[in-house]
Amino acid sequence: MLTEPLDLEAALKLAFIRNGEIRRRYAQLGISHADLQAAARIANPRLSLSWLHPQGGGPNETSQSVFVTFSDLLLLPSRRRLSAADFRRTEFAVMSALMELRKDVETAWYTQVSALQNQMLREAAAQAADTALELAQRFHAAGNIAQLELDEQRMRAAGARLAALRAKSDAADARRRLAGLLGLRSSDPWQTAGRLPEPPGEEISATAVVATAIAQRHDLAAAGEEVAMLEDALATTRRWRLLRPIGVGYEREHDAGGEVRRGPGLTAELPLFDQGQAAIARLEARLLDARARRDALALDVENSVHTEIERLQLAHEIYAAYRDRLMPAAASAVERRQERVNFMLEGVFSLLQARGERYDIQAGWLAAVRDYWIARAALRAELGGPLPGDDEPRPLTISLDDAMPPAESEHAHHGGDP
Amino acid sequence: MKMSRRNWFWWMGAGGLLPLALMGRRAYAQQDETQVSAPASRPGVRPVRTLNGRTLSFRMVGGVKEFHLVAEEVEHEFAPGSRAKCWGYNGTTPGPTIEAVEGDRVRILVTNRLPEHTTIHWHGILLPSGMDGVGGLSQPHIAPGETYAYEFTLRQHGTHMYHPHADEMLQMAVGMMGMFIVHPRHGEAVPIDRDYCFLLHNWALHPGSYRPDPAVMQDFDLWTFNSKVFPAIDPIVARTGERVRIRIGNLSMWNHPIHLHGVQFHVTGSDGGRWPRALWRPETTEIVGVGQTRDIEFVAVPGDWALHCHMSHHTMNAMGHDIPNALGVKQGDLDAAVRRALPGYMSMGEGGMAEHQEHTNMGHMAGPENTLPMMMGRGPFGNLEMGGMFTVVKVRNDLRREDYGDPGWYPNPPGTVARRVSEAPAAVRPDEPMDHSKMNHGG
Repeated sequence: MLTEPLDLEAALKLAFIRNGEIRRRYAQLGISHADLQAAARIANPRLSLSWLHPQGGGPNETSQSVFVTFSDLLLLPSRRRLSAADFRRTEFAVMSALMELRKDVETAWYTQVSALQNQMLREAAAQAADTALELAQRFHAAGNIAQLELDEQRMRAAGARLAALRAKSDAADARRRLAGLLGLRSSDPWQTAGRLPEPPGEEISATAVVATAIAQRHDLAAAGEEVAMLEDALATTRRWRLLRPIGVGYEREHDAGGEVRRGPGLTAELPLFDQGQAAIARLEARLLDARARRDALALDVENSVHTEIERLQLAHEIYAAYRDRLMPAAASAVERRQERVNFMLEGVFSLLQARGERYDIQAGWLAAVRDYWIARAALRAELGGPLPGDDEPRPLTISLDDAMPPAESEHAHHGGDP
Repeated sequence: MKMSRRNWFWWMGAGGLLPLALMGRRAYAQQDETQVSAPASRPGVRPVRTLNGRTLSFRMVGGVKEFHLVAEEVEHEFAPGSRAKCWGYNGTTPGPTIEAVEGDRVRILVTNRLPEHTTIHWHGILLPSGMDGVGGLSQPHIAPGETYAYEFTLRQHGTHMYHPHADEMLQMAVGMMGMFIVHPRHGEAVPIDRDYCFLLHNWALHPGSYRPDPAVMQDFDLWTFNSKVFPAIDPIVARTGERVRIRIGNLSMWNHPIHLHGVQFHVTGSDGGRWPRALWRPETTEIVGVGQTRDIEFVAVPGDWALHCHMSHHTMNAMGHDIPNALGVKQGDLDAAVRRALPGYMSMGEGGMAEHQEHTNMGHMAGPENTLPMMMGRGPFGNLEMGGMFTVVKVRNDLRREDYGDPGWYPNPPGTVARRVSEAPAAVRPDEPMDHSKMNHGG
């Protein structure tokens, strides 16, 4: 079914089509649209028929009347307006849900890709530790090291293998989570792309982003729409508060005496007691509530955006510290240690141990890259739209080639060894 | 000033010019030495030859021989490929050798250009208590920038040393030392043709670093004759039949059994002077204890003869003393697996460490910066696999008397070099009589 490895765009497209939750949202959008169409029509005319049968006998008294509700005709434009607003509100809610889904899919995709890379890294570390153990066994068999040193290598190798198994388990969890979001079976043979993208060199600044968020957040727009709708509803209700359903009709009556009477009819409710006060009060209260919700949401959005920007900036700092400081230092430290081994200042075990520490640091770096992208997805969700720099292409460059150089030709030879 | 790496290289660059300045100074000093140095001017007194070093010049001031030592930081090279910021005198470690004659009145000016105070103790010299140079005990410390004068009359002869007696542990660990040779006033009953001297020392110049670490007590990286390691140590050159004296002082932290091949030498003296003949003893190895000096004498026999400390780790340059022993461990087939994690890895040591010099000679196994391979030196028949306290006594039949130049490798007379008699390990068993008919005696 899916032959190409899923990059992030492909995963998002898939999710927008197949995700179960979002399909339910689309259905709600359909319902809301039906309501909108319904609101555009006036109520049907009412026909009433009666047959009165005199107790003493004699011919029946019959009457027929047709009534058209007149008030519908008056209220139609504002009803249509309210329903349209309601539809837009549903639309906004769907957009928000899509943004949430996008965030969830991005988070799950980055988690899955980094989990796979981490799995490879941990596998390489476990293999290196296994090699150290095999060397130690030979040193021990040759009578050159004590059982204690062999035990230490056995502990290291077992620890590295456990870390590899844990990484494998994490990758499986991440795959299941992504599958659920994309509406895929985790047992099907689909794959994600193999690498994380390189984060941008510089991080975005906070000031512009908050204004963007206020402008483009869908739920904030929806909350605003609700306030506008209620304001409209309140105004309409106030204007027509004395209006009660009025019927105009034509009536034809056949009495027992055979006399036929006909003429127009009118029914109307007299607004003596209920002049719509309760409905107005209810609407006023709902309007206050909607405004409070909108204002609270606006504040919440601003605070959340700030929080997410800080989180993103910190994630970028952590990533940059790995990229610029810890990773080069760890690489250099292993090279320096290799030079010491070359000059017989140190042995292979401490060198492999240093390499093991570098694997740990590389795993930390992978996690930092993943956390950066997840933080960016979270900020984008808070923003309700694209971030500066989103349209720049991000090649998938975070590579473990350095961590795991390609196997040499001798590798086949080694593979054949017992 | 905090020395950043960049500054350090700038400093190294500046230091690169230093030897030029020193060479000029040295040339001047040697010329000076032949002109005014008293030992040469007296019959039977022969100036010493300081390995890789020189004798300090003096001037006569009112009948007093006046020397001037400047204590200062120096850029020192142990051998090409290993330099360090050390402390020494007049631009070198060890400082120049002071030479005088029994009975001389000497005045030694000491200028301190170090960042901390210092003094000089004249080790083994008989002098007034206040001239003994123990900071705080015999005299006030010489503060940075100050110059002190030591003045005394030499009442003895022998092989002596000088070194600081202020912050002594640190100042000696970074190279402050020198020799002080006092020749007998009336010549020597058994005359010496060639007189060499050097100081034994040890250095904790950790691989990759550029300054000796004074905190180390035993686990040193470099072992030196006059602050040089083999193969940068000058050879001891003599003409067949000449009487050679080698004066050895030890200011290191270890005793060193100094072994000379080819002759039975006599141990003939120390800082007690040249001993009465009855005390001379024939040896081939003499332990020079810490703080001691020993003179050995022999009649030169033609050949290239090793002279070295017999502590075998002292004839190596920096190496690890806590590395897993790879001897007898088959590893090569795992190299590819290790290289998946460490692309530059190559196993060594299964059959011994001799292969190491092959690798480092070829240069395909880079070591830490500023660090010498543990084994160095090539001779006419192959690698010497030595470092540290090792040099060669080169005796030739056809040398001129004053020729101290390296004569090259010894041309062994035909039939006097050990030869291969078989290439098959199973051909000869120690417990079986040799079947000479099956051996290859060719060549």
